Amino acid sequence: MSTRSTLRLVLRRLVQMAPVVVLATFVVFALVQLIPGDIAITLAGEGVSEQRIAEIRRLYGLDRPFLLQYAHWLGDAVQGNLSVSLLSGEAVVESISRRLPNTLLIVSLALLISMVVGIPLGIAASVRPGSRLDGFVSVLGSLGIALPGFWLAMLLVAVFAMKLNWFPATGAKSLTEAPLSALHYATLPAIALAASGIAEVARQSRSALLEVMSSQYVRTLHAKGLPQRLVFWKHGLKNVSVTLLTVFGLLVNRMLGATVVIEAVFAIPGMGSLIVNAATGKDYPVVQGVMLTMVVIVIGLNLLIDILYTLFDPRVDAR
Amino acid sequence: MHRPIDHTERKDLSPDLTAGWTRRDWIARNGLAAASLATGGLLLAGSASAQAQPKAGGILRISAPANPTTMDPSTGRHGNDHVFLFPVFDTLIDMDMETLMPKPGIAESWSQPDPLTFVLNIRQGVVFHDGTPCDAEAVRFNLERSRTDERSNVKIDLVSVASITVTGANQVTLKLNKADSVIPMTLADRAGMMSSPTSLKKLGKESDRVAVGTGPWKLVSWKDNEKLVYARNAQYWRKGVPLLDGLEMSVITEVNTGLRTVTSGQNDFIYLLAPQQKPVVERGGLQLVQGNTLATWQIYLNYAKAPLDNPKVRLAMCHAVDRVEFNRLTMAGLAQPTVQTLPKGHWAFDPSLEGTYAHDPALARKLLAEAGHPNGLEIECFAANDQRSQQRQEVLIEQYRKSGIRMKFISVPANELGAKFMGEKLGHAALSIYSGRADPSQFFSIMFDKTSFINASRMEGVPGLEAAMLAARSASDMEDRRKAVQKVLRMVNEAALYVPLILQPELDAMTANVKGFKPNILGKPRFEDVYLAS
Repeated sequence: MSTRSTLRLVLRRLVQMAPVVVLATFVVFALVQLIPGDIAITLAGEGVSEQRIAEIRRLYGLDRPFLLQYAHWLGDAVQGNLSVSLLSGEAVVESISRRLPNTLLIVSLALLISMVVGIPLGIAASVRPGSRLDGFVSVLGSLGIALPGFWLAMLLVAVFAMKLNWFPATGAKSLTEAPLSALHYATLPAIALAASGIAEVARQSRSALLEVMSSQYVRTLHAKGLPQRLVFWKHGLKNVSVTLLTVFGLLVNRMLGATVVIEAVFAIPGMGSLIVNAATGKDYPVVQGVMLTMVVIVIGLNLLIDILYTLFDPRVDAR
Repeated sequence: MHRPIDHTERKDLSPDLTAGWTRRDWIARNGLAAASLATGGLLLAGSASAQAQPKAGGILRISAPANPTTMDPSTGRHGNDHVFLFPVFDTLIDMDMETLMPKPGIAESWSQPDPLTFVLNIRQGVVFHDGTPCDAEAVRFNLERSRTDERSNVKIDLVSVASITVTGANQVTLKLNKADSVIPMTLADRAGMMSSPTSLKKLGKESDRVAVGTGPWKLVSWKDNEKLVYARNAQYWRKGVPLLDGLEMSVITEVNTGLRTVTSGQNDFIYLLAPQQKPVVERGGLQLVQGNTLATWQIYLNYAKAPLDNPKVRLAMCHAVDRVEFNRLTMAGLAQPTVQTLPKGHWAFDPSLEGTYAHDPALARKLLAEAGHPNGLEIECFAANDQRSQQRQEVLIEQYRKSGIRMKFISVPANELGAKFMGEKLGHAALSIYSGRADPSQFFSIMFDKTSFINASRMEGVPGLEAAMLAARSASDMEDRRKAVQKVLRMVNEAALYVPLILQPELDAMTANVKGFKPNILGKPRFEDVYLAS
């Protein structure tokens, strides 16, 4: 794919991104209004009167019409001001910038584990379909998908943190301040998060490899006399990479969502716990800020994967 | 009749609010229960509690179940905030945590020459963490701000203050618009926490996240919903306090996860545990700390609405509950059943009320029949939708069923409960906790004042109640006050304006090396006397 067409793709996606961001944040803003509870009562404190609650509504602009509140938020966001949390007064940008690295670290590590463990398992299973090893991988795959992440997380804590004391039970460290310690803290949450990822990667890579290896062009390669090793590693795996890229993209989205539970079990200050606290408290500037960040990350990642598609499969460019 | 009172630190620890009572008198009159009001159930399940010589130094790592709402005392909005505020802020008047009596704080003495004048004598040499002196002007600035600022959530506590004047280099005089005996307790709470005026003026509306007080520790950082770090205030005016070099409070909202951090050694202390976690604490070899608190589980009633507008129906609701069984099933028997919200040993506790609301389904049915409901009735009750709340609901459904009361619980997120029941005035009742205040008059105002948001009825529950509440708030003589408070308690009890159930215990756990900690009646841990043994 040429640099020019890559740029065109990026630009096209960026143009498409604007309405997606506006629509996503608007829908979320509307949904926040539907969350039970009244933040004005929360903000008014204990022993309040109705008069004080009305005063709070005016003070925080909660008495304005819904659309006006959204427009005000959007106007500020366009200028780079994501406002401050209604509940804690902390700047939303600061909350996100402190928590996003923790979530990204767990998700990145979980993705790495999923790929490093899942791909070899898938390959091993596809080499001898129907063998004991294939059966073992299938069972492992089913188990990985079926096991609830929070249960596995608690099991890991009980064994590796509480009993063996190999890993900390809770918390997170900054990757920039203490890289090794940060990885130490992120290991158990990442394993808990990666369980379903390993299963999915193993299953998908197995079936994709089996499909590729039974295709006509592989038969042609065999007919031309290419050794099995070369056919498998050079031609087979390269063709599976597109499937794996798709799986990778889907896994990122899913893992970003799954961190909500994992962060709660390990008491990790990440994006999941941030949005849960904000949503239950109807703290809409924080909810909006987190949503905006997540939408940008997901769109950006999908764009990256689209570009990578063109590298692995030139036919994508032609389409 | 009002007697002019004057309190100084030199005389004794009890204020002249007690009109001649000393702390010793007070404890003697109330028996040992008074002294053990807060620490009534101190249990040490792990290592022995033998007190070694207090040792200075070290950092105490604490697992906190909630994030502070703000670190500005005047804009705070939740009782959980106090645990975070106590290390940074001193109050004008301090509170004896065992007796709930006021004692000198930043104000070394105070007096009340007449019912409408309250004079505070400010201690010399107290400075804020930023070096600003905490003098009379700083106190005036703080009180004026708490009383008038649009963002202040403690305005309601200072509603009886008409003016605040500096009447000397170290003296501030409050003129009241009505006699108010709760003022000392008000100044021992958030409204009495002093912040540096220099910092407040600089920050303006951005004061929520910066705390500059005069307390034993300085706030170093607050990462929202993550961690608060405190460092020792080397210039602290109280000698020998604090012992710890610092505090690190990690916000872990899931209490089981929080407890795991203590059993695994990542933290040293956790508070506000559930009774169900007691076996885990014991198995983990931790010290278990148990104390009584003023927090009450109760059923709030909308007595403006039928059928609860009939006192007989409300009385039936009070008699239908088996508080002992409720305590055993929902709190592992660790709580104190109550019919008056005040714990035994509290200065206003009324022994004559004990025995009222005895569990009696037959009487409850008879009362319902007299009220025109011979076949029973249905009560719609809001409650939180968490797992432990579901358990409470199940117990109450079964208990009320035996008396012909069909409790229809509507489970909602905890933050919706107030909006639905107190705001929109839906349903008849709500099962929830009252977090507890030091003075009974504060409880009366919150629960029964017709302008209070908490009072879903928005009406006087029984004729004469407002006047009785005002009398309880105005009486300056301690004995008069006790009688006035008990009169209100009796009126509320007879009219069954709410259904008190149990007083929630404080349950904390700490590692074996944490020493010197005592629970307090507010259920809000303080760490000034805590130290870490080797």
